[in-house]
Amino acid sequence: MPILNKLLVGLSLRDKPEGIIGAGKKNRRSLGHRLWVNRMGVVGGVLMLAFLVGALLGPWITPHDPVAIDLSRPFAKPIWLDMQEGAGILGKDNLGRDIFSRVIVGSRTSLIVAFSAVSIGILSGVTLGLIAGYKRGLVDDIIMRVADTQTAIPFLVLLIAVIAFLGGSLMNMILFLGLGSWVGFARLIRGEELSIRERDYVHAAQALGASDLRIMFRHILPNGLQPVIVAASLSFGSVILTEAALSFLGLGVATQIPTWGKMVADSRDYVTVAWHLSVFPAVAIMLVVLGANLFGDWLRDVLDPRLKGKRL
Amino acid sequence: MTAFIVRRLMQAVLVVFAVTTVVFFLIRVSGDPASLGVSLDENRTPEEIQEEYQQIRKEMGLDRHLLIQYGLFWKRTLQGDFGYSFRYGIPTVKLISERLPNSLRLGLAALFIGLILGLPLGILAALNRGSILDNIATSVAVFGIVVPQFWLGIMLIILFSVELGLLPTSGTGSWKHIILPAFTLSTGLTATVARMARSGMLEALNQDYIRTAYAKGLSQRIVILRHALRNSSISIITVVISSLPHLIGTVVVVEVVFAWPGVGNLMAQAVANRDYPVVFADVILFGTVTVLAFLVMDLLYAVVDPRIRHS
Repeated sequence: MPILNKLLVGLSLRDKPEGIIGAGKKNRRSLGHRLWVNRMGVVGGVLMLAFLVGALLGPWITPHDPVAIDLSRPFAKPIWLDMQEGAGILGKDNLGRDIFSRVIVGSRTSLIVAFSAVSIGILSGVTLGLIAGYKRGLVDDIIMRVADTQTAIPFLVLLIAVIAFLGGSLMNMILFLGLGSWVGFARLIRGEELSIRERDYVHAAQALGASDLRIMFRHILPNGLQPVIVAASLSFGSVILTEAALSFLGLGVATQIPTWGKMVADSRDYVTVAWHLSVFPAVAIMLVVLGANLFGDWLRDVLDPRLKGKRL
Repeated sequence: MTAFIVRRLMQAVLVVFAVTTVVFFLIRVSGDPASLGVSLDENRTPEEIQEEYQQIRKEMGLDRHLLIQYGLFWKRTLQGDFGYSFRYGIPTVKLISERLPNSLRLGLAALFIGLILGLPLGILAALNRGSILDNIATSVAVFGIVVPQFWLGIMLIILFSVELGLLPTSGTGSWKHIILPAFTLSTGLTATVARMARSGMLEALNQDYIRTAYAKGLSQRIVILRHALRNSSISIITVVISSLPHLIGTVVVVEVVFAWPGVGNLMAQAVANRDYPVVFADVILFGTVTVLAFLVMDLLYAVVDPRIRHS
């Protein structure tokens, strides 16, 4: 796994392969120092991990039942502001439900949608991109023109229309958000492929009589995957934001589980009396998107140092 | 050049055609629009209701084959007839043309804010690399990427309208009404422009012609504005126009938050009321606007850069 190796080197947890220049100069810094150098990536990784744990273990680790109503104590402020007992770390909402528990559980919908949608985007995008770049000619033209077409569509608007008519089930949401993100992945892998397919080892594989599929997926794909991985973590954040916006407009996944976007939407009627209802779910959205972006930036620096400091 | 324009125009028409077709069939498979037009009065007999339903089906042409409907739809669309709104009972085109100026105003104001905040921020950050200013610019750019605009809008209303009482919470009227929604809409744009301006400037400042300009004794202001900025302007224009589809999506959300009477808000309401002719016309409008913007961008490139039109 060359990519995994690179990642470990990037985090300086594994020594860099020593070239002639670096020979004899072993890089043995303390773990603390290594993590400090990559602090932004570490912050991003920790944020992502925290929300992943929340999404996976949601209902089992919340301090309170996220849907339990307690009308004796609506709008209770966070405990560190009012020192009222039983108010919860982040306070209670209009029905006295514990906001902290709801924010934790709310990560589930967002993360399921984002992970699945990005996976669909990668699978479809990479496959189509590989085919386009390998076959060239008419196939390439058709696939890339479809990609151009899709780029020119205001996607959120189309999504609003589609979900309004077909309904916002979890499957629909994942499918449409996934199909909305294939273009970027297809363009990236195709771009990589155009240079990789001229390398000697690809020609060698062709001479040996390897099938097109084998060449594409066994020889080209592993060598062109790096930018795709970086783009995946960045598109993860934008999918989370889109899902939250749809959820805010009342077009989110119809579920009993609270979602961040819907929590913000519900809090609109009470913002003047209780700011904390809308602030904490929004902070959760921002933190997870920030995490994805920091992590993505770090990945890019590690995988391709030439791009350091530039954004895709 | 002519061949390029023709090819690009045909492509643009194709995109609009594709979007329209997709939406047309999605709407047709998702339900029966005629049933939405029937008034369900309690005093009416089922036969009467059935009769009205059939009549509406006939009026809308739903009793004919799907492909014929599709053909008829294009005939009407090309004549500028997008049908009547179920909710308001007036032509969809009229409804949209009444609100479009509001959305345009909002979009242009956001563009203006994005440029006057983003450009200086990016330029100053590039000139003072590593300084506090650079860090502020980076933070603004990050904030613009991660903040959900629907939430930012609510917070701005609390701060400036409810707490400070400086600006109105929603609606239109005076120039004060546009400040909050336009600012909310502009955050993503400001971030993008600042980031591009920064990296564009950094790249330009390393070029030989900048050193030459300084060597000629030109002042820093002129070198920056005339030479460096002008050369990074293409990439800035590109990102501004490329972010248009995203900006249009955000317009819907922002108009809802601020009850701004534009086409985005109209669309959100139409979706809630299942007023499908309006949704449909809105999607076509947004699609066409985006396609036109991309078209203009490509044509401008071709004028500026001969390599493109000959490739």
